Amino acid sequence: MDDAQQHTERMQRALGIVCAALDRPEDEREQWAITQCAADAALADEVKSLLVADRATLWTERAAGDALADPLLGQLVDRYLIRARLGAGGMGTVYRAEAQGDLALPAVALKVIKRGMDSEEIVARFLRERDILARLEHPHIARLLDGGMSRDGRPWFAMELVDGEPLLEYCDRHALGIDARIGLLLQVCDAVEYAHRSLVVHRDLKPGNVLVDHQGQVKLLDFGIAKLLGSDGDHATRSAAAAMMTPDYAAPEQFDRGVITTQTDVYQLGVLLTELLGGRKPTRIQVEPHAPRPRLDAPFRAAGAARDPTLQQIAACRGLQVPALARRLVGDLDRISRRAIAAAPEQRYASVGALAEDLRRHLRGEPVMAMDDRFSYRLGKFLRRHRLAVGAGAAILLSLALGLTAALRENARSRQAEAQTETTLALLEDVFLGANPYAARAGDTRASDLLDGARERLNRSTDLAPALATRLWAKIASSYVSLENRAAAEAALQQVLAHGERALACRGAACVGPAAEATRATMAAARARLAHYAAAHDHDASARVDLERAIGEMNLLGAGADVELAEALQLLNDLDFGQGDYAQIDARSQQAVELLQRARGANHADTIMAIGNRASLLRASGQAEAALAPAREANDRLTALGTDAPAAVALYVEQQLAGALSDAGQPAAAEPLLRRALTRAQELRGDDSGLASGLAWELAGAHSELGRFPEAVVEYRDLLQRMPDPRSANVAAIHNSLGSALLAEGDADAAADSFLLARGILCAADARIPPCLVLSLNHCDAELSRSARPACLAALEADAQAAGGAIARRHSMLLARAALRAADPTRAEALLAQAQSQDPDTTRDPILRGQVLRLQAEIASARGQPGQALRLNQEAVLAFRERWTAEPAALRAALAGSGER
Amino acid sequence: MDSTDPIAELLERIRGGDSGASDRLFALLYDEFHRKAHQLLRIGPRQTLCTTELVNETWLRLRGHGIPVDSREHFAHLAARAMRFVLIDRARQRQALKRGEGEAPLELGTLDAGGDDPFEVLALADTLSELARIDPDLARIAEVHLFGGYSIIEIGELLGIPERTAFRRWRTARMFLVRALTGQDDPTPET
Repeated sequence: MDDAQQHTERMQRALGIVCAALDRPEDEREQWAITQCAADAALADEVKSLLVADRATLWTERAAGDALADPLLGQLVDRYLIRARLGAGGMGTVYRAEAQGDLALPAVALKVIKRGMDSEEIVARFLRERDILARLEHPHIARLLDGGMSRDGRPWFAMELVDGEPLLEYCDRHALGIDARIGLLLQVCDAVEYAHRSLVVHRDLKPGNVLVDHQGQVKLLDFGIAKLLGSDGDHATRSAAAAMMTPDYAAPEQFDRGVITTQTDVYQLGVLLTELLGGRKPTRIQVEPHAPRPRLDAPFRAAGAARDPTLQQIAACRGLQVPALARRLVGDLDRISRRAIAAAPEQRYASVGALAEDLRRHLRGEPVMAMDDRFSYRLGKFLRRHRLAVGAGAAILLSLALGLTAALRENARSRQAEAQTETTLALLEDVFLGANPYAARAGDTRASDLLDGARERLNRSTDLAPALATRLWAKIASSYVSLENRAAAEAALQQVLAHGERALACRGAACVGPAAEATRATMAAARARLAHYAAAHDHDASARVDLERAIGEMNLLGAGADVELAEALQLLNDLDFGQGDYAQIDARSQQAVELLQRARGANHADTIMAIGNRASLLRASGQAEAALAPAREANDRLTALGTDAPAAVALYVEQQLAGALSDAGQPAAAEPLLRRALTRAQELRGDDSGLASGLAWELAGAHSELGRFPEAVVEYRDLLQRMPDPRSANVAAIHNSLGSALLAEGDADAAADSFLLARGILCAADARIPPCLVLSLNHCDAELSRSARPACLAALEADAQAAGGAIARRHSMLLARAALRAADPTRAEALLAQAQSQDPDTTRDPILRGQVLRLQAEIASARGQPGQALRLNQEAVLAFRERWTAEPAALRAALAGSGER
Repeated sequence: MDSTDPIAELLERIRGGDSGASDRLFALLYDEFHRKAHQLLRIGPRQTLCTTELVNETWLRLRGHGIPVDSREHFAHLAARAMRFVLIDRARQRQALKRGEGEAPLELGTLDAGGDDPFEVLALADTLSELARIDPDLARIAEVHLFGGYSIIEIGELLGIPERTAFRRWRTARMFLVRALTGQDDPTPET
């Protein structure tokens, strides 16, 4: 026997002996084990050193402590069998226990007061926790089930056992996004709000006391240091409770032994929110009581943040990149969290309900109530200025020029007016529009209510300075425009014009407000918008002239009207686009970008939107390749703007980039981008928002590009349900896309209906504009699939062939198909050659190439050349497969047929 | 083991020839694996980080072998084994780093499986191999506990042995590991 084998066998015996020795009482264990070694000294040494190791701690067990040695394990407490130790707190230990009895009851969490901790004060506190739990019955609070006194006189109680994991770990493990995290915190808020209604303050809210179960339901635990509001024991227990707080989550008043109120829980929820969203606890206020709180997004904006592995990890746990997380946190969420963790309780939210409501408002895309100090600051500043003016004689200087009495009265009134308007403006800009002017979108009834209220207030404020009224009405009008409420927008725009006239005629001290140039620019913008409504919706051709006149006026006003001019140019582009007149669109797009760049800056959200619009229009007018450059530029500038970009702008830009990729022949690259963006848009604004609709449209388009028509059909139909105005050009375009997808699927009847619907909307005024020609060709295509010789082809001939390019090519290809139906392959071949000469894309674009090959195969087949037909069809398969995941059904059928022959 | 345990039930159905149960089983096992792995990788209350990437890496390794799982205990062992290899890889990476070799992996300092020191993970793995040569059963319990994240009570249930026996065996394995890891002549009793 060699040494190694001898050693192994000795170790086996030694392990067997110590294992058996563990059954012996501890004091006689070693002696017993040595006896077992039967005078084998080497074995006895092994055994002894092993038993010594039994008392050492392995690093993996540091946290577990003496869990294994707990004497309660395996014991009965009342009718509960203690199975495992779950954790130990300041005064009690929590076990997993099972009720013994006939019924298989679910396991419970059993809390027993620690041995040696049973001083009067601690027992009283333990029993108070039990009492508090007994009065709380809420789906998000672990329930009290049972309670009593153990045989050795220790109080215990049994709670619902929550099979879950701590809040932060749950979120990180599931890589939950920001909205989902807020959703979980809202559940916590629910529970805490309920506790407050039951007069209980938790005051130990921390991630470890919030468990999330497998259904994603939150359970709030550990009311161990909770306080009953208004209970007389308060002063007596204040010191003990302070000693038991969790410093990282404690509110300042807990450190200062100040008065504990429901605001204490608001603070702790704020800390939880901060950590949930930004991955870090806020800096402790005790260190720097008066230092301003750093912004929630600040760490993610610091230089090098995008390459910091810790920050990358935090962002990744939220399904985002670092810059995107910064963008998500800036604004609302930063304000909400900082308000909740304000040092002074009275600066926090008045209640947990108010905090929860603000979080819900944020999720719904409404402006939040947690304002920066900006609003109150502004108001305070105005009042200070007002007092100063009265006191320091500035008013007197003015009055000397104007006549004392009248001037004083006027002055007072104008100041009053200014105060009102500043307030109203601040309200409008800050409260209603919030930090994000794109917040107000279609279908948002709450936003509409707010806006209607603001409008009523404005209607009643008859003594406003006219120039200010002009500005306010313009704000209201633009909000109604973005809510797609034409009637209300037009009424507000008329008010802009009426008040503007008065402002320009106004003389004297009551005429405070923006300068005349600004008022003129605002009025010109209102005329432009009114003209656009009339032209785009009522097909009033003369309205276009009004829009052009307004643009001329803005040109004269110069730099002060840059922003208005940029918007008006985009309105004109919209009209031209609807008419299919693409000639001047891109030049105007570029001019709008330059104007905004000058007025707002290169990386301003408006500028970026305008670049995105340019890409969108290029793409929509069939210049997908050209659209890629501006789409990328918008995306680059968005990255440069970083965290300040409103989420909606970011999504719009991503939509344009993905859409351009899709249309420029890279739909496979675009599809996942779109899917992600759509999910974010739905989370951000809901399914019905314009933002989500735009992305859903784009996604359906990408699916069409990829040949995934059944998906596209469902998506287009879904989208049609969501469009607010059933007669808009967008709806016509969606009907058209739906029809194309249906046709590709082989449902010619439904496709024909869709094309007819689109034509009914778009071509009521003038059927010869290019979009209508395309619709008619599409309809004709569907008809051709239904009957051999549709009359539509002849009717379209002149217009289509005159249009040239892709339109003429399509017409020629349809003629070729008709010729094939008429068993005239020679004519079909000539027409197909004509089609190819009309549009170079027939060789460049794989789908078009596939379609040409299909026709050539059919021609070969009609000529009785099945081998040639098969070869062409196989080539067509290859062409379609360059982009599509499958070839068209008809082609599959043709190939299957030729295989049989 | 609990007879209403869906995993046990699915295993039963697979044995009975229900091939559709296999996918469902893997979905359930994946969930269980995730929870265990995250428990294991938890690095303390002050810093929680999503370990999804590491866990997924392990899962892929596990699934990639295509070994048919025939019991829950078998799965627990496979999972522990896979996690052990992944942790060893990480520890080697970090060890190389501490010695100044190679490029810094991005996750340096953000993920710390168990010990503060990568050398501990490697030493533990080596010691486990040594124990496996002497007593494979003890080594298996220790591996599933230390690298699989299963509690001793669960392991008792998985092996179908009384809890008390499971604890005793684990304590025996533990003695061996502690002695080897702390140095035979210098045990550090802490109680």
